[in-house]
Amino acid sequence: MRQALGVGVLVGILCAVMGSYLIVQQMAMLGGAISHSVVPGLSLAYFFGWNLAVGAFVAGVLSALAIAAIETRSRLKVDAAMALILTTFLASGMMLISLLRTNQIDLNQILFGDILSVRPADVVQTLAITGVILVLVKLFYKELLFYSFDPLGARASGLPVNVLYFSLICGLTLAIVATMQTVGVLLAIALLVGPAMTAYLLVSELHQMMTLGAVIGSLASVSGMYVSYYLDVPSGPAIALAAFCAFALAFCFSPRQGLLTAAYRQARQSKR
Amino acid sequence: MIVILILMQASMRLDICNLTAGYRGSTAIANINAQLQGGEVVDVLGPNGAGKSTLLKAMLGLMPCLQGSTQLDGQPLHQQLRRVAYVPQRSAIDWDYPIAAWNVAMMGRTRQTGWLRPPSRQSREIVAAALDRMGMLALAQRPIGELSGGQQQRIFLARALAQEADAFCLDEPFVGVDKQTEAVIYALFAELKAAGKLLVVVSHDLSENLDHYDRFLLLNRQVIALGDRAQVFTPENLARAYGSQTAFAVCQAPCCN
Repeated sequence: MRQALGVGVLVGILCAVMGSYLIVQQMAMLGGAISHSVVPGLSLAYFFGWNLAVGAFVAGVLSALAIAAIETRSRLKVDAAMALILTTFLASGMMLISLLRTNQIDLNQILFGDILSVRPADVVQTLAITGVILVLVKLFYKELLFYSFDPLGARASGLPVNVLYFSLICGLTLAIVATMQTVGVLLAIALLVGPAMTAYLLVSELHQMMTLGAVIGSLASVSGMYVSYYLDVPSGPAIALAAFCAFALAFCFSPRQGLLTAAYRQARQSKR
Repeated sequence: MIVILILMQASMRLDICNLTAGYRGSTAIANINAQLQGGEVVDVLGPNGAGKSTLLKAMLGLMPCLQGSTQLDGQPLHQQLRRVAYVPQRSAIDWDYPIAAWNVAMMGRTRQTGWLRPPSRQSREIVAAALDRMGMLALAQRPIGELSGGQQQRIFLARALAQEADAFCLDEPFVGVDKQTEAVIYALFAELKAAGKLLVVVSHDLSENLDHYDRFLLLNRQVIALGDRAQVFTPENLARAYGSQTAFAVCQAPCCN
């Protein structure tokens, strides 16, 4: 339980930081595409006896590159490219699992996650990924801010935007790999976008969005985990729903942009 | 003294040589040749789809060039991008991005600051001065999305100023701005020009005040004309750029007389 708690807090922080970049770049579904695309990597890694995280990482990055290639080399738009690549990678993952007979991998656990089954080694791995990503984001914050706000301007000023994009993709895939065990590949995107979106409604700077998102994400995964433990339901759905509850609260009650706060303000003004 | 000034101004040259660019096999602009120099404000104009923005992007290497090159003082421009400030079209920016105006202007110092370093105190002073010059220092802590179109444009111009560039490429800076901002921008043109800078400005339509430009580059996928007002705004040139109907209408307008 203590290990699960540790991993829950870590992925909450990690996902909010990388998820903030997804939201501000209007690329939220890229997180969904990458997270589904890790499955063939898992199967191959299991078959060849490699570290599962490495296989998942390589497959995830390849899928993002395939999406970028379709988008830049044709007239097709990025959403179409994501839909095709996501299903293609997921389908080949299913094929590989059945062909290589790697179905000892518990598919259910990959898809939906089980935070209560984490081992000490998983905690160490998640801690390492989170640490590396937080340090890199801190070190390259001003360049990534420029690139994500104004890609053309960043390129015109001579920043290596392709390298920055690729780094963001790698960071995102690492976050997904770390989250996979907790909430599963189907729901990893919930933890990536939910807390970051919630924070977006409440603050007005990217770094604040990351910090507040990290708090919300950790709370969501810890509370989801307790619900999962006491009600004996899968942890992934519980965490995803907890993240949504936080978003719903902010959506209704955000001081500046909330649905109900705006209505309340209007009602008070019309009374005067 | 005058001789020295002329020499200084003549020292910077931007040569666009045979530039051809486009996406996926189709050419948007072809065989563009132009020699521009420091101390002039050049208006790039032409009909919709003429390739005005494409020309700026191709010059700066923001899109694939099929052939040709752009040289600043004899060296390829894309190797000295620090010397050029670029202000993109309004539509290229997500104005809901969570960022304060100050931090947008600060982006002008990103390259000068270098990797792995926080901006120096000098950089912050330069940014403050640039914002002050554009009359935006008091609003610098506001989120960029809460500013008006004109104010947003002035923040981007402050960012360009903070870069301390030699050449400025502005893509439709007058779209969606108020009269006050328009006056601020024209005053800035005059100031930068006096300092020997080169300004390449893509303009939206012919109704803008042409007095603020030294030369005009009339474009319709290729250069129709490059020169001063009398050389460029002839009925033949306008007909070649816009089609005969529009050219007639434009020549009736007072700006042409």
